[in-house]
Amino acid sequence: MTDPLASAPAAPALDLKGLTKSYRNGPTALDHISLTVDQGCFCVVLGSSGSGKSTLLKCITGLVTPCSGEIRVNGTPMTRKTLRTIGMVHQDFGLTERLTSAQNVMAGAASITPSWRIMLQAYPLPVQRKACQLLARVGLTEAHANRRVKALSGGQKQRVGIARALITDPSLILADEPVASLDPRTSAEIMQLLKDAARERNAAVLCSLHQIDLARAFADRIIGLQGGHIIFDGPPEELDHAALSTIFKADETGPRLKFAVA
Amino acid sequence: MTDIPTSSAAQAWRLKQPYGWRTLLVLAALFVFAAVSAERMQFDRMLNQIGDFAFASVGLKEDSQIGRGMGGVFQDMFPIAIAERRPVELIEHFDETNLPLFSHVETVRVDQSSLDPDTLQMNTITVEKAYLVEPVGYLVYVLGKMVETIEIAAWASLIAILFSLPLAWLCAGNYSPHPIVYGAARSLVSFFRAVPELISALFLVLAFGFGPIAGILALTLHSIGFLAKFYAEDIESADTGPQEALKAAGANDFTILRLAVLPQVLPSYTGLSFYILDRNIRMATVIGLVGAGGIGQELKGRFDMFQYDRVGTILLVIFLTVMALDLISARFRRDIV
Ligand SMILES: Nc1ncnc2c1ncn2[C@@H]1O[C@H](COP(=O)(O)OP(=O)(O)OP(=O)(O)O)[C@@H](O)[C@H]1O
Ligand SMILES: [Mg+2]
Repeated sequence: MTDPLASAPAAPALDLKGLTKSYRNGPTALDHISLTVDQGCFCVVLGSSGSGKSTLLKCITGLVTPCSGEIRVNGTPMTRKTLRTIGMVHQDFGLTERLTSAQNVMAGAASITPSWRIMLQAYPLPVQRKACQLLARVGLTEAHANRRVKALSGGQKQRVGIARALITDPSLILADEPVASLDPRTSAEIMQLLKDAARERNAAVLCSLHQIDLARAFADRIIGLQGGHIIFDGPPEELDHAALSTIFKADETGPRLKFAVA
Repeated sequence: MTDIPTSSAAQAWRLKQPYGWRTLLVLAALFVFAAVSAERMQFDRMLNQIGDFAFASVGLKEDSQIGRGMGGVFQDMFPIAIAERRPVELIEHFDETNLPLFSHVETVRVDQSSLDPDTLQMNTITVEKAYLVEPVGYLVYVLGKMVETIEIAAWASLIAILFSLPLAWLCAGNYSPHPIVYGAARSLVSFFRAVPELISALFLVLAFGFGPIAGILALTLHSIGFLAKFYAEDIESADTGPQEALKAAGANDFTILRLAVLPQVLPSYTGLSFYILDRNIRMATVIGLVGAGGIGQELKGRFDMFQYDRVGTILLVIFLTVMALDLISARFRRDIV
């Protein structure tokens, strides 16, 4: 298949071809993953622990170097420059606790800010204004903006994390179990916020989760990951009992456990 | 009564015992080594002398070597020298109408015998000799030397901190630009740390001459060796979450260090830096002994001239300063860190 016409309006937000990763002294975490995520699609990667969700997202942002395969974002291959078209939300927030919320949000724009400004923490005024707007958008106040992240609750921290991911106007938002450490109610609020914020910008989302109910409630499309393979791909309505048991229950008799029993 | 249900297999278990014949062997070996080493270190002579001194001090013995050695010195040390009294003719540009603060001129008559060249007879003449007396002159001088000592330590600490920050970057395994740079930086830093201040000061005095320059440089080198190592270790052990997050956002190493690492390590850096300042002040009093400026240089000079009353003043000023610094830094640590 050759490249579609450059003028084609909708290069997919994310296009993975044959993505493979095996850790040096570990299992094959991703095994020839091919996946296309359309613009504006809220796509949830569902899988149990160790299924390769984090590895998949880390490969896209270059935190993990894949062994083979191709990654294209908006039709262009990934480089450090194109990273600014991606925003990432982390499971453990990935915020610098001793900086304020606003400083953390503006740090998301580090790749497009001159070094001397970073050195002095003197961000350009437009970046500062945008950080304020985003913090307001995720439901925080001026007091929160000037407070150290250390002094925020888990839910508030993840709101800051989302604001940071949005500051470069990404067309693709990656979220690695963004609500893993939050209570069910806060989880739903954060997922709603992520979905709304993405929709406002027509940004695609690739969000890993292990909570079935959240995946059902928010996803446009669910990818089931198990042992580094995509074993389910479809809308939430198609996620029936059989599909779930292949994603989750299969794990109980999965390779590792089988080994131990044999 | 119900017994805990017993399992026959568990009855055969053997738990690891904390001590065994190996412990005994190690202890015996340590004892032999200690005995040999104590012999080499002349422990017998040390105990003899201390015993003699103890007997002598309660009157059971005539005298002891320790008593003889220290007694004279301590007797000469008190009263300590506070005033300064100098012959006027030795003072350059002496101006009787414009004396230093609180000082006065004292004239004494001294008999001088001289040979009369005509009669070839010794005759005694009385001359007036003028002295400039400053009642707290020597104490002020020593305090000035103490301030100089603190200045040496402060400069050394400041320069060391400034150089250690970039050096720590090269020494941190996860941020060093290249393995060769990492190896070179690490070796340099451990070399700096391995050379004691007193020894580097000895050579720096040869290179730069007597005075504070050698002292500042000697302290700086050693402090860099200490700070860069511990700064680097803090960088290496910083929480990786924020660092990965910024890396995923396309930030470069410098940015990550500034925004994700520095805020994390800053409290620890502050503590380390204050520790090195504290230590440098104490070390700065010592390196003067080899001529590297500060109060130690004055101490060494007076000690060599057997002016023990002045030595007493110097020691008192050092002790009081170090104790005061201890109090200040303890309070400071409570408030800041
Ligand atoms: N740095 C690493 N070195 C070796 N193996 C690794 C490393 N990171 C992950 N793995 C392995 O790769 C597999 C996939 O891990 P990954 O972290 O992607 O799973 P996950 O789906 O994110 O799990 P979780 O839900 O617990 O976060 C696991 O078997 C894991 O042990
Ligand atoms: Mg994970």
